Amino acid sequence: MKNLILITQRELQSYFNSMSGYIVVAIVLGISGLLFNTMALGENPKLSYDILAGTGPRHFGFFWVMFGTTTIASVFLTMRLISEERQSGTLVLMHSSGVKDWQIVLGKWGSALVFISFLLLCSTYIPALIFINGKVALSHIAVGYLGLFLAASMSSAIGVFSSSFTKSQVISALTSGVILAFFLLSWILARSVDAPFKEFFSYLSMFDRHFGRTFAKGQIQTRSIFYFFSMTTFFLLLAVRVMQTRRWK
Amino acid sequence: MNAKSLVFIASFAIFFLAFRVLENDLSQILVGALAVLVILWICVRTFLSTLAIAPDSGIKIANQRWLQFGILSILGLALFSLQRFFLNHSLNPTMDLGLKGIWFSCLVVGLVGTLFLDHLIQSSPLRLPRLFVRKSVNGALLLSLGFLLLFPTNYIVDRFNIRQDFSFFKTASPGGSTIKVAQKAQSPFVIYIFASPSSEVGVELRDYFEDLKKKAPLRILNVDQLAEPSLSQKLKIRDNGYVVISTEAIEAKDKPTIEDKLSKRAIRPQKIRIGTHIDDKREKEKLRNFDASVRKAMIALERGRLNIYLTAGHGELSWKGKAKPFKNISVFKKGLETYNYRLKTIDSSKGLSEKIPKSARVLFVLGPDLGLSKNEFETIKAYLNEGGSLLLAVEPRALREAKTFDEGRVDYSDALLKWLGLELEEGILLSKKGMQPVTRSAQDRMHFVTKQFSQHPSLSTLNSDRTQNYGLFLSTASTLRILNNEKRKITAVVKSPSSSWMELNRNLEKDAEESQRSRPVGVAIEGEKWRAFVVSDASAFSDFAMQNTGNQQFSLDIVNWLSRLEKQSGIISSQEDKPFIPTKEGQSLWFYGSILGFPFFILCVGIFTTRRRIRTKREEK
Repeated sequence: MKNLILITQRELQSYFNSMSGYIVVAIVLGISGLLFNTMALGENPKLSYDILAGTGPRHFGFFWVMFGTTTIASVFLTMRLISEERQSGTLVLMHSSGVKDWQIVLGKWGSALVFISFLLLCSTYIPALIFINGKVALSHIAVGYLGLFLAASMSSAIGVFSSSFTKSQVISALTSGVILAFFLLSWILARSVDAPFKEFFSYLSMFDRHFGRTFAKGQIQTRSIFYFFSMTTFFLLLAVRVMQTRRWK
Repeated sequence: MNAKSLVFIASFAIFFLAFRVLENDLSQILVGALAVLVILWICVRTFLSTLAIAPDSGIKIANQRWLQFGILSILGLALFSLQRFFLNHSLNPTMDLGLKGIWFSCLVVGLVGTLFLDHLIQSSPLRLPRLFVRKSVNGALLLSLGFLLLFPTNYIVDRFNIRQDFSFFKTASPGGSTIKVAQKAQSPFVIYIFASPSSEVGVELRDYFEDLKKKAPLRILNVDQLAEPSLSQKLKIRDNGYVVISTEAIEAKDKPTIEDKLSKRAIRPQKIRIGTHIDDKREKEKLRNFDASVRKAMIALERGRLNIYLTAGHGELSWKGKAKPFKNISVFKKGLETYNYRLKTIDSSKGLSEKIPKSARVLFVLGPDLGLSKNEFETIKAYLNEGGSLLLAVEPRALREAKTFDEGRVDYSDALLKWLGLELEEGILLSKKGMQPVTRSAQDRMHFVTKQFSQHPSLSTLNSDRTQNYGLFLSTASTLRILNNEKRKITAVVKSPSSSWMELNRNLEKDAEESQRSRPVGVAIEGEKWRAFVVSDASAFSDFAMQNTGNQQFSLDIVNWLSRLEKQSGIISSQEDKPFIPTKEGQSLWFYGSILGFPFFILCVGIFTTRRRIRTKREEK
């Protein structure tokens, strides 16, 4: 446990002791703010519910914007986590000092998640405008943020897994992107296949089924929480296994 | 991954794809059989090569385990074939699902195992510690079983899904208008709430009426439909989730009298269907607008339905057809219906040129493009002289004249205005303050909000509740000039903002000859027996303008005044979501604040923190 906390702290320090972490937060907030103003608020009058929870095609709401920026940010934040250690050779040092693979994976993922949580916390000023002027509940905003946190947890786990099997950060980011694209677009796949694959791909749809129709609309559904939890666990388990198989060489 | 494993896995993929992609049975069997032969050939080859390896070596054990996983995948394939070709449709759904689960699990565990062992053998082809083989097998089993566990667990959680909605929900509280109707009722109202004692909807309904009871005389009866069959039958209620509104007068009589039947009032208790499940979206919507439903039912019992006639045939605003948001009045019509008004149309063929029906409580003339004919003008005059009421909304002359000219007709709208004691000035009102972003160009100066209301009974709610900060949105308004007329009492009740000017040369800029001041845009006129209200912007009643709560309240206020029911006017309580109208001033501040301001603040925090850290380190050194 001590090793796990040490790894998490070390990673978090790398974000907050230099300007890089703040720059990432500022860029993500700037982009989110821009998209919120242009796409969610727009120029025409809209219902406050649509500004907050719209998931297209007519209304693109705040949570739609934040889901996109959060998942993309998590890909960029996690792409270097293990591949950089592998590239610089520090992974061998960590192994020789008695740190377990699962501790490395969990520590890295935990630090990314804490950083993304900080980012999400900083973005709470954006929906404040809708809360003050419109008819939306604070609990709705809180539920939406819970969904964003769970989505960030899953996308970070995917990022850590992608980072675990390559030295190249570019390949790591590309792999994360492809896996996330699969989970985001599987609803399109679900449309074009027959049962039982239809239900299968529909269930896998990260945004359409487990965020857009639930958390974004202020609803908590146990199946969506479990989906994010199980997917996060699976990808972290996969990352640990990949780390172990890499050690056989 | 070496060629052997690649071909092995590809053969499985080809086998399954053949049955999904190929349509011909023969080609399916041929391709499937070929794939099976390749799989078997790889397994036999691996078995033979394993025999040649020295016993008890790590490599031999790894190959043996590979073979075992390979056979497990073949077993999965065999079970799939058994289900597909021999047991098709003969199993019950549970057995069918179970068999599907078994062959899928065999395939996943088998293929993941072969992949792991193949990777292990490739990593150390010469010497392989047994520990690594054991770890590899364990890893493959853990991962594949973990993957397989995802499906049943997610399936179970999906089946027993629990949903909790935290989005905005609040039952409307009794609005000012409903309270006034209940207070001034000739006979106190009796409320039956049909809900089970544990019903959440029942709690919401009881809270609403208990609030109303504090301000007006009411009798509330909580009824469980199942426990009170005779009462339910009397009120014709078959289920819980209803509210029945009656009056003490109706309750006292067994049957309605002839006088009751002749009156316009509703003679039977009014029913409002809500539903029993508070989580249902439709029922939530009904509770959000519950106040309007209660008011409508109470007005039906109190005074009955009143008719309003809307002139047609001159390009007026209408709720019919697919008119543009600036020409549609669906929202206005809906608002009038909550006050139990019925909107009907009247054109020349229905008597507009001859006589307005006696049942017309108010006559609407909303933005006629083509102008009125002489006969229509005379009919309206006669209707007013008999004690009628008129709402006249005119578009600026600049927008109207071209169309009237094209038709070759004489526009008697101006004559009607003059008869009322008004005149429409040339030009369009523009303002830079209170401007609304509609086109995001200089044209938006035509779209502004005014809050210049004078004290007059026609604007009873707008005047009585200043806390709501109502404003009237005008999109293309002109100015009304008040003419001297001793027979009429003319009051300018709505004026444009003091920053507004009359645009004369259409350059959309304020020039030297265009003075800035407040000008009348809404005028109330009272004759000997009649009432009229004139607005110099017909689109103030359109669906587009009605997105603004101020316009909704304004329109209902003046209709109630014209109907001589201004005492029933009041705030409409609704918890329905209202459109968020972005304003240019407020939005630009928010725009730059959210895009640049807060991110810049984060950067400043970053600079401060990192510099302080560097300084501390230097000091420590």
